[in-house]
Amino acid sequence: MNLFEKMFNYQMMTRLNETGLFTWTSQERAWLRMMLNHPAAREALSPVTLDKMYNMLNGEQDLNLQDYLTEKAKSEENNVSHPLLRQLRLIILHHQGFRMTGRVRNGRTSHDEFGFPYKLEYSMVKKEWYVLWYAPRFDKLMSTKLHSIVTVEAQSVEPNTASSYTARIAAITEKRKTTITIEVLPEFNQELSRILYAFSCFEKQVEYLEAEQTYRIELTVPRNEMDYVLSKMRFLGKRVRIADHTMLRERMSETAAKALARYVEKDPDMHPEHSNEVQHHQREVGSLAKADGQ
Amino acid sequence: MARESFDKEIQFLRMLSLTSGAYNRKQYAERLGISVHTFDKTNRRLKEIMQTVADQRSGAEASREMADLVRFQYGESAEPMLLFLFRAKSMKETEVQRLSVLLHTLQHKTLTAMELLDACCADLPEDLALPDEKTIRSDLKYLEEVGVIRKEPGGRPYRYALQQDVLTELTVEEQLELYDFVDMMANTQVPSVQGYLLRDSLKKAITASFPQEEATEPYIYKYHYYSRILDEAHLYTLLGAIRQRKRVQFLYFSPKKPSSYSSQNTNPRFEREADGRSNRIVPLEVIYDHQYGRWYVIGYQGRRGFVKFRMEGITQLEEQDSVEEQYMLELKQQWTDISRYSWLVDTGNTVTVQARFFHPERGQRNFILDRVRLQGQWGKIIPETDHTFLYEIQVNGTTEIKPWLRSFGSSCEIIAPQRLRQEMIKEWKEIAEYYEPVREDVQLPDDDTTE
Repeated sequence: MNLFEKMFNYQMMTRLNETGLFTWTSQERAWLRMMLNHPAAREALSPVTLDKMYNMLNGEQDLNLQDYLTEKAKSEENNVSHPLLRQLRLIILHHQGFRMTGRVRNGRTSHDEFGFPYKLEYSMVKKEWYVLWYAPRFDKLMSTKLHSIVTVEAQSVEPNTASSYTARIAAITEKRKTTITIEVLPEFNQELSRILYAFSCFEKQVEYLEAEQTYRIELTVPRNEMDYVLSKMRFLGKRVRIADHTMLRERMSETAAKALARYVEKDPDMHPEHSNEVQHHQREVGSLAKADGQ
Repeated sequence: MARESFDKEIQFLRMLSLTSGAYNRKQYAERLGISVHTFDKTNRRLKEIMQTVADQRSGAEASREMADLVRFQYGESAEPMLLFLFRAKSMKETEVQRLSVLLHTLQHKTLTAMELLDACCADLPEDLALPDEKTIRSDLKYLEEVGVIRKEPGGRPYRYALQQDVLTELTVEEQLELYDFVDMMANTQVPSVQGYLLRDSLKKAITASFPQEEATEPYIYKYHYYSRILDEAHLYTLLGAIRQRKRVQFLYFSPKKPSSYSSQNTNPRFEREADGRSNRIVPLEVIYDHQYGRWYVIGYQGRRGFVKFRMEGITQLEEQDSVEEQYMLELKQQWTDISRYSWLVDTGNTVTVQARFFHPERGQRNFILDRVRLQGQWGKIIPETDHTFLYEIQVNGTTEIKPWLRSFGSSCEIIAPQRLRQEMIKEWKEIAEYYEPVREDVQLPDDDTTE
């Protein structure tokens, strides 16, 4: 299989698009055939569509990649699709709102809340689908796990209202963004590639200070995603340090102190430099509640 | 068809997307090992392609820098801009014209080669030389080979038809369903390039029925490594070689230096990666690492034994002679045995790692346990007390699992082996030092999400 086929050439594509011509190669069909074997296919496609696809692709090459390709350090995949996706995606398509009843923390149920959904988000880390929606009553952006939804029902929204919601969503999203600067300790510059791969899933800008031979990575993330950044920081350990964010620096410091405190009681030889573990201990419990990163 | 090498473009795009903005063009050229002139030329060419592809969707500004164009923008689209690498193959203008006229002509009816020749002569711009029958026949052969068209049943003269069952056999709603499925799978599974290409064509097809932007971009995926698709350029050559038991040769540029885990390997039989030189291996397996979003190829290299290469460093990949089936089977079996307990690709000595995990505060969902279950691979979870559990796993070497364990912060305490425990203590001490002095009184604001 050659991914650089002439058929995929950009000039060809441009030309074919002029009349909305649809072409597909046997490569794409073989890939699709392979994907239809994934359990998600039965959830994402209706039986009729699935049946048609099977018939259509029956004669295609079987890729059998599992014999040569192994995936490592993968999160277990509980669901790639979700039964509610279909309904919610149609609500988004038609610029509708919804009324939703869902399970919230501590086993309580939220009743019949009105919202305006705008995206369906899949977390590659938690392997969960979320619906992102706007709650006009609180003027807030919300994110709800599809698994916690009990019922959802479409509700029509006036076009004018819908566009005002869309504008609010864009404004709040922008406002929620924050930047974090991370510095690569120069002694680990030779591991730069690895470090940058680890951060490649974020919006980022890299700066190289030649005189100091230091790389600084400026991440732009929504404020509520900081715990994931922290998890990445702990993952990379001493190779990187948060350069500019007081709150996150504080959190990293707390984590280190608390982690050391875990060891100190049982390893009497260990003398941590910190004298204030107890105080840290108390506060870390609180902040850990949000440390649900990677 | 001649096999084209996109090594330069791949390295170029990888560097731009990973280090966006870090270097000036001279520094980039130096790091890529090309002249500034070549850098500029490649930059111009890719930018032109990028704009041709992007303009139709978003009307990207011509003034934007290449690095901005390939920069990952979360939430805007699930479509990776890097995909255009696979669209960058160069073609003669006449060929583009001819092939597209052929396909357009076939759009609504089946035709014979001669009828297509006539159509071509009628439809091609006047300034182009008219194609002859032989050319048309070879074009049709190519289109049939890649599966875009097919010969209809029945004898000579053959009639050709466009393969577009997806449009003709599916209803508009079913097409949307299929688009969603392809979007999901391309974004969550590997390999994905064909999926992204298919997503692209389906997107055009469904836009006619669903013109709203919400029709094609309702999904986003966090946080995935989209630069992974660049290495898929080598993937099929390698998989093909493994399938046909062929040796491969390539020039390898280590990403700076071998990473620490492979260099700690003490067993001389399973040596570490080599630097910047020609390598000839029997490829055995391709591994995708979900922790960093990187690809590896595992091979056997005579005296050096089993070797591991990151696909990002591979250039000038070529297939060579084949090896005996029995030999290949033996190598595969050996590799399976020694890598059974590799967290990723480490083949160091097998040790048992034991860690204690601490539940979060009472009343909270046990996200620590959830995460260990989700990501702990083949490790065992053993309940311990009301607020702790043990996790035990056999792994080859501790270097690859260490970052994962460390990412749990103070919710994880290493019990064994003792050396790993000591390393972890040392690292936390060093990290603590990075953040001295510590300011107090800072709290994270509540985030505005519900579950």
